[in-house]
Amino acid sequence: MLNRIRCLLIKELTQIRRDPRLFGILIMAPIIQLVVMGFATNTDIREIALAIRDNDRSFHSREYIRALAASGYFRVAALPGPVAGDARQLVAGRAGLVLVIPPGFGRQLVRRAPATVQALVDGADSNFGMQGVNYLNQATRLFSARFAREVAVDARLRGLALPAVAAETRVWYNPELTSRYYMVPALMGVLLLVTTMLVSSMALVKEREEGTMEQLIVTPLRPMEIILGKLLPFVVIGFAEVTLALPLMRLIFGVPLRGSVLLLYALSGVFLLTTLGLGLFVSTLVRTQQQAMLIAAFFVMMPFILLSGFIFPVENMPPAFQVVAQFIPLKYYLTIIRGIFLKGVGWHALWRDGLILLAWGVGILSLAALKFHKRLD
Amino acid sequence: MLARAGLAPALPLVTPAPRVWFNPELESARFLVPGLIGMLLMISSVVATALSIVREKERETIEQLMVSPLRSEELVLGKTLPYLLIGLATMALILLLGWQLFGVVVRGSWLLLGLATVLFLFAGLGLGVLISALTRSQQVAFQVAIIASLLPAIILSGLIFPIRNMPLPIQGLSLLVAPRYFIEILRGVILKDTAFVELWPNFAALLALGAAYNLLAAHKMKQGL
Repeated sequence: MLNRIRCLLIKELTQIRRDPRLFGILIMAPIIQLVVMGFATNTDIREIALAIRDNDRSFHSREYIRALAASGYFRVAALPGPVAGDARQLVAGRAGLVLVIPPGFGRQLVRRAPATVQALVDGADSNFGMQGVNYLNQATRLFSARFAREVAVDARLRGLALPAVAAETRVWYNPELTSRYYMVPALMGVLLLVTTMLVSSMALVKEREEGTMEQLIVTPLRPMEIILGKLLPFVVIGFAEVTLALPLMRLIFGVPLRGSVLLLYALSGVFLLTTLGLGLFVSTLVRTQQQAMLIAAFFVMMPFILLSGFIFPVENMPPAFQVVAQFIPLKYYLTIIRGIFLKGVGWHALWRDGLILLAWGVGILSLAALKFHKRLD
Repeated sequence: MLARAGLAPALPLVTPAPRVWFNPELESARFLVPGLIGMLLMISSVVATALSIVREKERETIEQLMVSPLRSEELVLGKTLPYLLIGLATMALILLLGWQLFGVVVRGSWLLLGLATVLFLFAGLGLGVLISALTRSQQVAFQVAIIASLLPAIILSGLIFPIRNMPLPIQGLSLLVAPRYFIEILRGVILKDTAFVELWPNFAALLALGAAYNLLAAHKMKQGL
C-alpha cells in the first residue's frame, strides 16, 4: 500500500512541478497576504475629523478648541462659510463630528457657570461614532478640569473647600497593539484554510474534467489511497506555510509566541485534515472546476471567515448564528492558535477544541472517501 | 456639608450634548449591511468570470473563438455582460433582505445606487476576465481570483477596518481595491442620502478601474490572437 501511495505521490509532485506558477502562488501568496493584511487589521480609531463651528469667538472658545486639538484624538478644522453648510460635512463624510460652540460660551465660563456645546455625530459608522463621542467627552473633561482647578484655588483663597473627586483613567495596554496581536495569528489560520482548501477542492474534479480520472480508476489504487496521495503534497504545503509565517509574525508584527511550538504544529496538522477534507468533499460533489470554485468560495470560505470569530466575536452573535458557529472548524482553530500565541496555554486547555477538530477532519475525510468510492462504481 | 457645598461657586464645566445622525442607536448592522453587499458582489463577480477564458484555454476551444470574427473587446464584453445582469439581480435581492431582516432602507437615490452597482460589477467582472486571460490553468486562476477578491474585499475595503488608520503603503494599495469605492458609495447613498456631488470621485475611480481591467483583458486576448 505504501508503495502504491508513493507512486501516486511522484505523479502528483511531477504535476505540481509542471505548473511552477501554482506552486509559487501556493507558498508565497499567503505569506505576502499575511504581511499586507496584518498591517491593515487595526481596529484602533485615531484622528477623527472634527469640524468646529465657533459661534463665540472668545478667548475661552479658542482655548477649548486648542485643548481638543491637543488631545491627539481629532483632526480639527474650523468651519468656514454659512451655518447652513454644516450638516453637509457629515453627509459628505468630510467630518465625523461637528461641534457647535454657542455664543456666550466664554461668558458662561467667566461667570463660573456650566456651558453646553452641541455635537453632531455621524453614526453611520457605529464604532467610529461611539468612539468619537467618548473621545470628545474625555477631551472636554480635561479642559473642564483645568477650569475647576482654577476655581478651587480661588475658593481656597476665600477659605472654602470644594468637594474634589477626580476620576483618573489609566490605559493599561495599547489597544492598537492588542488588536494586532489578536488579529495576526487568526489571519494565518484564515490563510491556511483558504489556500489548502482551494487546491484540494480542485484535486479530483480536475482529473475528471481533463478526462484522466478513468486512468486513475483502472490503477490498483484504492479510493483511500488516491485521497491520501492527492492530499499529502498539500499537507506539506500547509506546514511550509506555517513554518514561514511563524518568524514573520514575530519579526514584523512582534506577536509573542507564548505557548508550545510543537503543540501549534500538531494542532495545525489536525486543522489541515479538516480543510483538506472539506475541499476534497467539495471536489467529489461537483462536475466542473467552476462549480468547485463557487461552492468553496460561497458555502465554505465566506461563512467560515465571517462566522468563525475571526472578526466578529462569536459571543456577540445572535443565538442561531452561535449554533452555526459551533459547526465551523475554523472557530476551534482560531481559539487554539490565539490561545497558544497570546496566552501560552497548553494541551490541558485546548484538548476539547483539538478533539472536535480531529473528529471533524476524520469525519469529512471518510465522507469524501465514501462519496468518491460511489462515484467509481 | 451641604451648606458649605452650597456656598461653593458652581463649577464651570463644559458638557458636550451629542446628537447622533443617520443611525441614532449606533447599530452596527446598519453600518455593516452596505459593506457586506459590496463584499458579496465583489466575490461573486470575480468568481463568475475568473475561469471563463482559462477554461476555454484548457479545453482548447479557445482556437475556435480566435478564428471567429469576434474582436477581443467583443469577446471580453460577451463574457461579462450575462453576469452583469445576474449581479444586478443579486443586488436587488440583497437589498430586499437587508430591508426585511435588518431594517436597512435606502435613503438616497435608487438611480445612483444602480449606476454604482453597474460600474462596480463592470470592474469586478473585468478583474475576473483579466485574471482568466493571464493564467494558464483553472487552478491558478482560482487561486489568484480568491487572493484578489476575498480577503481584500473584507480587510482592505474599509468594510471593518477603517482605511484612514492603515499605514500609508497599505492605504495606497487599497486604492486598487474596487469594493473600497463601492462600499463608500453604498454607505453614503443608503444611510445618509449623500448626493452625487460628494461621491463622484468614487464613481470616477470605479469607472477607471473597470476600464483598466477590461482593456487590459482585451489587450491580453489580442496578444493571444
